[in-house]
Amino acid sequence: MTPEAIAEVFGSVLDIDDVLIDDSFFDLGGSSFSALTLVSKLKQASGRPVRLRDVVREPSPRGLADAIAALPPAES
Amino acid sequence: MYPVEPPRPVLPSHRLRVVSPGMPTLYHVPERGKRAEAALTALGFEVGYSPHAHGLSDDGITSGTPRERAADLMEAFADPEVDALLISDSGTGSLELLDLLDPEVIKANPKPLIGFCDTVFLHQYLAGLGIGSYYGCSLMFHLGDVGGPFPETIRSLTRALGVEAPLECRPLGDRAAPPTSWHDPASEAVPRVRDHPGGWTWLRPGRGAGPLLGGEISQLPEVVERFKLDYRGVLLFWDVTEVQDQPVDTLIRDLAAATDLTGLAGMVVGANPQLDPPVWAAEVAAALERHVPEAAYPVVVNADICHMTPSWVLPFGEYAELDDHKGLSFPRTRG
Repeated sequence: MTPEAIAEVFGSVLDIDDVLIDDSFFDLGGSSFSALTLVSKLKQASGRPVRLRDVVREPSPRGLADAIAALPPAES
Repeated sequence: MYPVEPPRPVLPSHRLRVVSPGMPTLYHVPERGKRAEAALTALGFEVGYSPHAHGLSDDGITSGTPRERAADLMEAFADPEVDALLISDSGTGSLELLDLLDPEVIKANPKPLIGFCDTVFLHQYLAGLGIGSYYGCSLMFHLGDVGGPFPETIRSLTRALGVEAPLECRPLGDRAAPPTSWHDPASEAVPRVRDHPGGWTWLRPGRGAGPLLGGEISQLPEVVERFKLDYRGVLLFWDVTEVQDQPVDTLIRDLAAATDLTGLAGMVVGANPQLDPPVWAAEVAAALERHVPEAAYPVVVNADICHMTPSWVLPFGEYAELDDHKGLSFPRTRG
């Protein structure tokens, strides 16, 4: 996924516009609870086994894009 | 209906089925589950997993749809190869499963569920069917720590599952709070430190006996409403989570509004992960005096049924005795 695509997912989960690729999910108001939904959406969109720890480690779209690219494809 | 009889003993070599009625923690932190599985295997249990135990729902909040999670529970109850069900984690999600369960299948295949916190809805559901369960343990929260679970937790689990009679619950000593986050590897990978002082505080000494019911207090008004419970004659246990932000005065007020708390057989209040034991005991005492001033039953605070570890594993719905000389005990007799 591109950072821009991840930023769109951030926006849909948090219901905000104009998320930048260096914005932190948690600084934008994301909670550990909304992060659960974020992870599920990113997993569906990327086909990779994204986990909550990935968002904790890399809370920006730019960082997450690299982290997701490094994950193996999800098992079906 | 109450008290329920002890379930059949679950012993080493018996088979535990991990189910996830609630949050998808096993998906997010699978290595924690592996550590817990190793601890159970070392005790001699066989550990298996329900189809959606490692799952993730579309909204990310639970391990699957309500139908998927309920089907996992039903399959575990119906499977003669399964001796007990162990939840992976709780959090949320149990209440929405109740209408999807088949009580006739469960009654025909009675076996204990081991859980805590949000799974109180399942414990109470099973108790309503006359089936005993165990409250105070989960795969992830209680058994998955780096360095292994605390020995007191293991002893409490195996004594309860083995239907040791009587089951006597004594203070377990100092406690450890949960890690700040399971999803921060730096935090999750550090063994828990028992830096919260243990020990009980008797607000009102005495002796009381009755079926043990209860759970995490913010959920109890909904439990009472759902099951039309009357707590008169009940030994009521409750605690708060490590993130509870409601004052205890509000929590007890709401519970007292939902059901009569004046006629309990006794009250067992777990330790609070956010407060020092004397402060917590004083807050509970003030709230009880304000909202249940006429109560005369024994009350103990800072008990070892709480959102810290080590912790007791308690037979939910069984006859229990609370005594300021003997502590909390369960005769665990059948018939």
